[in-house]
Amino acid sequence: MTGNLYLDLLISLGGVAVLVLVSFLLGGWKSATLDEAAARDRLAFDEPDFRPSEWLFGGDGKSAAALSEDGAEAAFVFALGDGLATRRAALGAVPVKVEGDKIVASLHDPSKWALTLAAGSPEEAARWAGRLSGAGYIAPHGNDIP
Amino acid sequence: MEMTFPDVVTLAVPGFVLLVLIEMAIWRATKRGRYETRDSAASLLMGLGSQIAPLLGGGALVFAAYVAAYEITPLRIPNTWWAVVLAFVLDDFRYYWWHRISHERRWFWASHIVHHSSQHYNLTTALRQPWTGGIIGPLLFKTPLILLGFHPAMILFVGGLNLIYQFWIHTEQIGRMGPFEWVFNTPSHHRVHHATNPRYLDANYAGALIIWDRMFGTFVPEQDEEKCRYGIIKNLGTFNPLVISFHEWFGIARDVKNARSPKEALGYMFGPPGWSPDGSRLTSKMIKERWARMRGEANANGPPPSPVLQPAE
Repeated sequence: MTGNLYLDLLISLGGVAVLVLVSFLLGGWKSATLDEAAARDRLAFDEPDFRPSEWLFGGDGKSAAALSEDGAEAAFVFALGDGLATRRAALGAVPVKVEGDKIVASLHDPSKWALTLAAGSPEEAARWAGRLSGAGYIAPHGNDIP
Repeated sequence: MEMTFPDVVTLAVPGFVLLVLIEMAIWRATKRGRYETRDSAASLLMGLGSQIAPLLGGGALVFAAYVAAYEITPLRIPNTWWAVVLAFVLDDFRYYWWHRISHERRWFWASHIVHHSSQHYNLTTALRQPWTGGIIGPLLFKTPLILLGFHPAMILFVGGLNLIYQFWIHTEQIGRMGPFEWVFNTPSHHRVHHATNPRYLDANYAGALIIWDRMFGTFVPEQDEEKCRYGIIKNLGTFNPLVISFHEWFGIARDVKNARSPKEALGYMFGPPGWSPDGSRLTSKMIKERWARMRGEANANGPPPSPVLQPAE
């Protein structure tokens, strides 16, 4: 790179910084709250043939998980900035582990390697981890086996 | 008189910055449209990176190939105003096909997905450009214009004009534009292109002239009753520019590594985005078919919730 190119780069970075700062000052730094309506809406849009039976809405308003009616799949909805995204997988295909009252699901997605779900309590986390891993899941509203 | 072809994109950058600031002010004042600081930062850094990437050697390689093609061809089109107009139209036709293939073949989509990876649609989205794909695409699609006898500098010039034209159409602040929309690409047409609603998938590939979509059956008008929801089918979970830039290439590499035959590997690389040997993933064609099927069932069984008619969050 020549000196001029370095200067161009510096000016361009300055321009980016100014625009980002203005966006921030105008209230652009936003985080979506993942309430039930938003999660259902996003999942219905992204995966219209996924029929959710039961939901776990993370206590931090950042993520949610749903089990399908047929007991074969799970879906995850999570917030990114002011937007939402979903991931869908067969039960058991996503490794999950419990960390206190949280569930950590390894999505193996380059843009979202792991998803943390705030389950509310260690017991609830263990119960949902069992369901998401495919073990202990019987049927919607059936026996809850952690 | 010797005709010169300036680097119009570089000259336009101050205008881009000014228009982004104006759009932000309008967004703030009217609450129409959406801005998210981290999303905008990612878009702007992608734009900056896309200007730096060709300096790593690809830009020089491509230009050398253009010059070689110009030396080889016996055809010559003079550098005149009418040749610039003709080159602009032909380059726009070239753009339509390059853009269409960039959506229909995963190898090209792996670069172009970057531009669609924001869930927002504003002027910073226009600047969210890929860091990859700057060699094969231009060589395949622009070299024919040079072989026709257009000077390489003129082709780069009209390509720059096309890019500048496409900047202003990335906005939700402009509604319909009447008869202008019959011929030219507009914010309304391009909103459809960026939408992931099944109705809108694989539509409106135009650069400056929408006539190509009308001619080749890919034109879809924006519907007032169905608000566009922007992004990609599987929206990203990060604002990291490196991940935005390379995630689809990573996906291709992983699929090719796990392919059970060379045919499968080729399918993963050059099939439509979403292609899989067992059909377990969805291409946009399959998504549209599912939507049509579910819509048909909904119409037959009364009005259960139709996700595509729900407003964007």
